[in-house]
Amino acid sequence: MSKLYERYKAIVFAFEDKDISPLNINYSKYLLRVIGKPIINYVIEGLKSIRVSEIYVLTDNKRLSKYLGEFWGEVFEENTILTSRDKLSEAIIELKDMLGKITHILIANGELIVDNSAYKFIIETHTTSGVDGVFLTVPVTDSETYTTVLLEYNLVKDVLLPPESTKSSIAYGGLSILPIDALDYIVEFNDLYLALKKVISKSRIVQAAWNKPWVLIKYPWDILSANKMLLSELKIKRISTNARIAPSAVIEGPVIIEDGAIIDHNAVIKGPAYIGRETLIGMGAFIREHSSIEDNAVIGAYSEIKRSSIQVHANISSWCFIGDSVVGVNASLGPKVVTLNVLPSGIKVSRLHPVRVKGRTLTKLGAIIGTGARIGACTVLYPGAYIDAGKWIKPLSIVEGIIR
Amino acid sequence: MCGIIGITSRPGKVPESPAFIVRKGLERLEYRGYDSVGVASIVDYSIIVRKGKGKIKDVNRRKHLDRVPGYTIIGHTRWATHGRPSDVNAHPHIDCNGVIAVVHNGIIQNYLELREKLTKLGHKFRSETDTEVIAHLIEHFISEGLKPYDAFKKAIRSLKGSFALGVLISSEKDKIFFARKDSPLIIGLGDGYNFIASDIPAFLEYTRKVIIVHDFEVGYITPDSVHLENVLTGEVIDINKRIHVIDWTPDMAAKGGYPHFMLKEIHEQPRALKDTIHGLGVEVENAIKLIMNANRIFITAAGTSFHAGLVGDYLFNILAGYTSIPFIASEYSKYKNSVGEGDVLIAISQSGETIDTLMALRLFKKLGAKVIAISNVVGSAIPRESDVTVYTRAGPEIGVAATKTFTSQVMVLSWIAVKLAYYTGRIDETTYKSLLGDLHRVPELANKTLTLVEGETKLIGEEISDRHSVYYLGRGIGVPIALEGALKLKEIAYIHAEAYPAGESKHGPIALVEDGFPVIFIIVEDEMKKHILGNIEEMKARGAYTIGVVSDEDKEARKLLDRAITVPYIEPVFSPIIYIIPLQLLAYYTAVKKGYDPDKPRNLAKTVTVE
Repeated sequence: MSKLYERYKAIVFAFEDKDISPLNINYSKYLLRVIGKPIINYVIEGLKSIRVSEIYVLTDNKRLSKYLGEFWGEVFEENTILTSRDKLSEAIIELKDMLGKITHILIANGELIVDNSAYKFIIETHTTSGVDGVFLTVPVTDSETYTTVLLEYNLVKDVLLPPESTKSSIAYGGLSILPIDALDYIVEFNDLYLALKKVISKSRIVQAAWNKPWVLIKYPWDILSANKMLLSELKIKRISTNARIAPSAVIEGPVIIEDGAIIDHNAVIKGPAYIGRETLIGMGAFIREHSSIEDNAVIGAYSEIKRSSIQVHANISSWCFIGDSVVGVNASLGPKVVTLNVLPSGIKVSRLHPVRVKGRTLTKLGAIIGTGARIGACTVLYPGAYIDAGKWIKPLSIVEGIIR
Repeated sequence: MCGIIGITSRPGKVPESPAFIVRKGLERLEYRGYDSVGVASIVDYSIIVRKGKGKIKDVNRRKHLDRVPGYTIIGHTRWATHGRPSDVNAHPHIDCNGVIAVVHNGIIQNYLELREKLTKLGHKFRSETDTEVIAHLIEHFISEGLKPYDAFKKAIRSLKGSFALGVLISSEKDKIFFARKDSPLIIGLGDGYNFIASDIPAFLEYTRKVIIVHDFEVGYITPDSVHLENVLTGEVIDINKRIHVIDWTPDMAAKGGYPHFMLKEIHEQPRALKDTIHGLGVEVENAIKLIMNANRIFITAAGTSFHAGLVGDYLFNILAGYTSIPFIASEYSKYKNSVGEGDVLIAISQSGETIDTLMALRLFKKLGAKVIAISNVVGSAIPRESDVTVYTRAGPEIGVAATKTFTSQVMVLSWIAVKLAYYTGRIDETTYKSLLGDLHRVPELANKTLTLVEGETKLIGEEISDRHSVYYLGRGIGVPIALEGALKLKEIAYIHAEAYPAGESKHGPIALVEDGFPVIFIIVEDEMKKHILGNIEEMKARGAYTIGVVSDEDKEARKLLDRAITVPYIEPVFSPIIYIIPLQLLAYYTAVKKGYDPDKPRNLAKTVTVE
């Protein structure tokens, strides 16, 4: 007898969008790293944890498609459909033939980062409630940035897209089990969310109310929230025996240091923090809480990194301060580049919440530095500064913040 | 809500006796109802029924449910809807000849019509329940010459309403017939035995292979087979395509998509309020008659119910112009020399068994007072000993922290206060109708509130989870809301929370306020609001972290507050039902953030039965 979960097949929607640019330009949103893993891997691992029988990925990004085949094996190569958003209907028609005869389909957003137990939770809710489908739902603030739902007790009565979404503070959690008719509705509307609306009007869908941490990566700073969420759960120190750590380095609190990382003399890593494979943390550098230094990144001597995500192959030179920032793949920062990270009071950025620091309430956001950007020495980046992918900033520049 | 279970087994195929398994299954379904219980078994082509009023443990002690012989047994645990809890109203129900036994979860809407029809045909009804008609209906169709299964199907097609059914017909000695519409029903598949039940945990110990029965599906189980078909189309369903194997923990099912009972019950409030309104009838009029003829009105309760009582006290004064005396039940002896005939006591208890409230009630009765009970459990001790009982229809509440029962109690008290005000001429007919209209809209507003506030309250709950102390401040009708909000935080998040009328700050409590001290304000859109705004200012001046529950019509308070939780506007006198919702959620998410189980707070029991 097969396990219950094997009866489900899943479709992952992984289309690029501009809210996270410039980090996904010449790259893929779903390949950006969160604590050592590409975002897409969180969803795939989640689905694998409940042993779904087949996983299909719809994407418009060739790089992602290639990665899935290379990393997850041949089956994924076959099961990844390269299409564009406006040709979703055609892709779903193609997919329906591959799915065979099933009654329900599991739909997941590729940008979902949540504990694997959430996947189990919706399946248990589905099997125990005996209804047509289940939405993972999550209470949120900033509902204007989410797709939200209207509920009547635990029944989902409607799906609200921005700007209507502010009528509810319960977000669709990016994970659902739907009756198979949903695919016909996607074909009809060429849109997932309009299809969800129709499914709800035709079927009994209940919510699975998720009360634990959860992040849907939409904006660059959501990567920082995901870092914080995952690192907060880290309770132990895990240092690879293949990492090289200078005897005078200080590693404090829960920290992961992966294979091939080099931590030079007098560097201080204050956890929770993540240091990826083949990274170099220079002499006297200071890596502070909730930071992730992803694979092959370099942090120069005496630089300080605080609550930031330094993506793969990024290079931070010496004497920099990078706070509350995301540095994109292959970006390079010259010496003494400084990010300012306290937003002027009165400015609200969606999904960023103020923090209390010594009696003051501050909203913190540093810079978002695009893929392959180069920042000249001694540049000052104002809070909320965006540097486009591949852009070169001259040394000694001042870059004003742009809040999108 | 009720729970049903059935097993049919070949001898020696299950490790314990089928009756024992049914009793254990019923205990696992007790969260669905627990006012009466019963089983029926087929032995030698006849049916044995054992049933009675009370909790499973007690009825089993009296009636030995788990020693019933036979291998085909159905069982039921009840939560009264039609007919009070009693031995007669307990399920299973049988037909005139005792050859058909029925257990049922749901409500048969056309039972009166069917009952009348069957009575005319000579059927004798024993109980006050809607369920009994099903047994007689099957009996009727069999008497018309139909085979048992066809008669069963025809009966199902005649029913309107919701049902999950388990039926025994004595001539079919190893079959349990079942049907489902709008109430849950699951089949469990074993080797030489099969189950039906309202929920998987009922039989999870014996099998993990299940089939979820869909609406309009009927069929029967035998020890070795399952027959399933759609009652409308007649299509026979291939069960092999519907079998699931499950690997999860038993209590998941009961929570229906919620991680905790408390969150589930918070979300059930719109429905509980609606059901409570629908259930209000002649008892309210009787209660009002007693109040109108009373010398003095006392209100007593404990814990959350006392806070509901304080709301009642406020409404009796403000709306109806009646002075009432609220007191905490355990302090009842204070009135031993002052109460007498002509006085009326309103005793509020969710369980109807709260010992302090019961003792207060007994003292007042002994001294000649009349008693009005407000309770959620039909036939419990306090209603039994009261002159009039108004029931809340919140359904079973499993979470120890009271949520839906509080709002339902407040609904009952608000309803009484509005009617009282009208009957005594304090409000005119237009106002009366308008206020009743407002109360009718409360369930919908509660639903809207839940949808709007959960995100913000979760965030605030996480923010305050590391604090050691919180103040809850209100004025007027806001005071009982503050008291109840503080109680919720104390009991499940284990944070010291103190509520008091906001005007009291300067008389002492403000001395504790320092930088970042959370103060939660209840800001109702009434004449007290301007004073509350002053209180926010005074707390802010001392560095407090100010949080407020405000109406969406508010323009001033949210500018002052560090965090505002916005709820839909409601007539101020009815604000407790809406304003408490974010405070319940706040306590819940604070507890979750701290890693506590909100359903089982330390040192607390759901029903307090010792003084």
